[in-house]
Amino acid sequence: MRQTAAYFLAQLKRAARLLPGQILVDLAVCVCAGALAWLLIAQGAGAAAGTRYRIGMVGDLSASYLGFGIAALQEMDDSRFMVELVPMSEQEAEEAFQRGELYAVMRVPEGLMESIVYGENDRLITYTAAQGQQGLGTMVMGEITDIASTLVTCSQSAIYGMQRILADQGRGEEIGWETDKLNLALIQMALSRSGFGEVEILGYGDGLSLELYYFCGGILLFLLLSGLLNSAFFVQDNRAFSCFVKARGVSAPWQILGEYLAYLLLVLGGLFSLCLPLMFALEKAVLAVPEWEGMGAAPFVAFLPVLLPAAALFAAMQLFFFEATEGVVNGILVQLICGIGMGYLSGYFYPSAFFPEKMRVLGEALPSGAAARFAQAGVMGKIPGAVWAAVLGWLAVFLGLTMLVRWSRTR
Amino acid sequence: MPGQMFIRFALFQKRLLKGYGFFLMLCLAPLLAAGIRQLSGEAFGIATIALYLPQGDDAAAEISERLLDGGGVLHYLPCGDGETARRMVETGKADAAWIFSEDLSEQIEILARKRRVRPVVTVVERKDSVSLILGREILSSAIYPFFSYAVYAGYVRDELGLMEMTDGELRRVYDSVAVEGNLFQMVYPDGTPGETEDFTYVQAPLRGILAVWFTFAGLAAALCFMRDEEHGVYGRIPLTKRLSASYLSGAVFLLDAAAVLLLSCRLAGVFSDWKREVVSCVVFGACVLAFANLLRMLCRTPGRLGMVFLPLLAAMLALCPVFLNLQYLRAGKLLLPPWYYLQSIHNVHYLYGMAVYTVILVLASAALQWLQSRRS
Repeated sequence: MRQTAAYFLAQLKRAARLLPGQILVDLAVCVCAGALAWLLIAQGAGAAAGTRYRIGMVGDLSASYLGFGIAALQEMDDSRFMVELVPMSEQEAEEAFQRGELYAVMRVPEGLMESIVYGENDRLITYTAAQGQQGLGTMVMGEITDIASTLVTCSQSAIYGMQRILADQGRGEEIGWETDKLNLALIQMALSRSGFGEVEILGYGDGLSLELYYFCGGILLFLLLSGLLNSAFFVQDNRAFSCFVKARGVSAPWQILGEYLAYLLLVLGGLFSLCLPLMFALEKAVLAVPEWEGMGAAPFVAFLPVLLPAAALFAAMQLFFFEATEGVVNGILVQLICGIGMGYLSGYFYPSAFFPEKMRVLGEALPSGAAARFAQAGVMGKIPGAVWAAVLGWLAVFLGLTMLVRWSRTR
Repeated sequence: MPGQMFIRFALFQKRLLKGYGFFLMLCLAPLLAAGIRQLSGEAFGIATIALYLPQGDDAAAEISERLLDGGGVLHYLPCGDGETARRMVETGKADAAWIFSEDLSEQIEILARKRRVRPVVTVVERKDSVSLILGREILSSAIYPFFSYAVYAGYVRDELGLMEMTDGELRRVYDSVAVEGNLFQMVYPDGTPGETEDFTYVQAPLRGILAVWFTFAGLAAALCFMRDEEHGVYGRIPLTKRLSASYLSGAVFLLDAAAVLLLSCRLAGVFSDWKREVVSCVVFGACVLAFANLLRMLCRTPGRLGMVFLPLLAAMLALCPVFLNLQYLRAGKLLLPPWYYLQSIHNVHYLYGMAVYTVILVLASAALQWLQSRRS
């Protein structure tokens, strides 16, 4: 027993030696995350204050109908609150797009309006909304262009139908006048299309706001990936030393327990140094969470104990990864891919509601998902027994597996 | 000389692949990629809509077909009645409910004749959000084809005075001139049409995740080299030549990781074409190698290098277009190899940028090596 206590104290000393450096790095992470949050908030506030997504329009913009269309979109359509269409030259647009000043570049081909007027629609407006491969934003943009296409092609069909009927009736001289009238009627209706739906907002919800969801997700992601930060704790780990300690009377389970408790203190030290600036930001209202508005840091302080089981679970998981992969280098890479992969599946990056059902179920079943459910339930003030069982079950599984690996290594 | 290089290369490879930990690490990336691709085959969306459309109504059938068969970013749950749809929103099973009027066709015809837009759908939402605003636009565009047809039919009968035209005749003429297809086409900066790559937004971040993983493989190789240095593995190599030794050992590490990166991109469904992928991957590999070695020389000890990992990961996830594409901090982005790689797949400009950045990193490392060897 005395040997075990001595071993635990030795591990504790190792952890304590790493703590100052770790706190510094935590602060650096806080600064990074704070700067990012501030930029995202600035971007969101800008959008709310009327800063719109700028889309560069290049190519043949000489047709008067096109000019009228752009003016109508900018003056009358609902999209004017979100999108600003800026005519510019190809080179200007390219440069602005690369500088990140434009959300997308739209290229209008020569003869577009003639192609639309004659119903050929063989000249496509091409747009570039991302430098790299398409992501969620580009796919949403694709959805918006589909909507615009539907509005135009359905209006075209109605007008051509009317024109064909007039031509069949031998009333060709009326086509021009009637086309203008029907065209205007359709444009008016397309512009007021939002009136098709009567919106009823229930104004309540049992879920978290997006801000609180990501607030919890950010802290859990930090805990999930803190194994990278604490990798130095495992640098000196080797099999010969474990065998030596075993020979001195500290068996594999006790070794793991000693290392785990020391490592957990290191993880909690990291969590604490992350939470201090967060508390400060909440107290000074620099960081706003709708559910905690006007309450300062008090709800966050009350929420902190909820994070402890999640921290214990992630510490056990990280210990297992480092133990199982033999060597700190492989351990780091396994931690990284498992951390990001699990975080992604459990909704730390995109809300899990965005994912297919099976993926959501898998994400919830993973340790990261169990921790997320625990934290979310903790914020709401009631943690169901099943959520407790999931977290404690995973904790036991990881500790058991780590002990098993150490036992087989020191046999 | 090439023979010696090959022997060293083979020895490094043997040493790496001997341990199951490295093999496990290599296997995890393709497993994650293939798993997420497999799971993304099901229906999903950025918002779930409980949909109630009356049975036996022409307009409802057309709108239902348009919404349910059209793919898109929303996920629809058809409901038997309006009350069920509303309850799904109340209980949080859906983000919104679209409850269409029982006499939808009739209402649309009346409104079209009057040429007025009035509500024909009740949209029930718990809370307004950006995805639901987009959803309402999708709803309007699903109703508009039926509405514009009704406007055309009403116009022909009322304004042109052709009351005798039957529904069948009107429909036949309309269908004979109907314009279909999309007016817009998404293209990448290199001119590749967007539809040539068919993957969902669930798969989209995988390339970014793999690029970050690859960068960390480079950093892990640097860490490995530092530990070997501490153990005296490179004791016989003079300090001035250590940089090339670290490049060689790192290249072996990254060669395996590059093969896994390409395989994982293929399994994830985000692969473009072989030539482009291989060229980008090779330049990316060189860039990561140079980046990791410069960091190794700046940090000097494995402990310090290890402490850089988390802030670096945070910076990569925030600044590289993995999950979000932030418009700010371009200077910060320019320092991160995955940023160039993710942009270079469809833009050769960034491939050249990455090559230039690699040269800068190598020159900086050589200068630092020279300084450090002079000091010691």
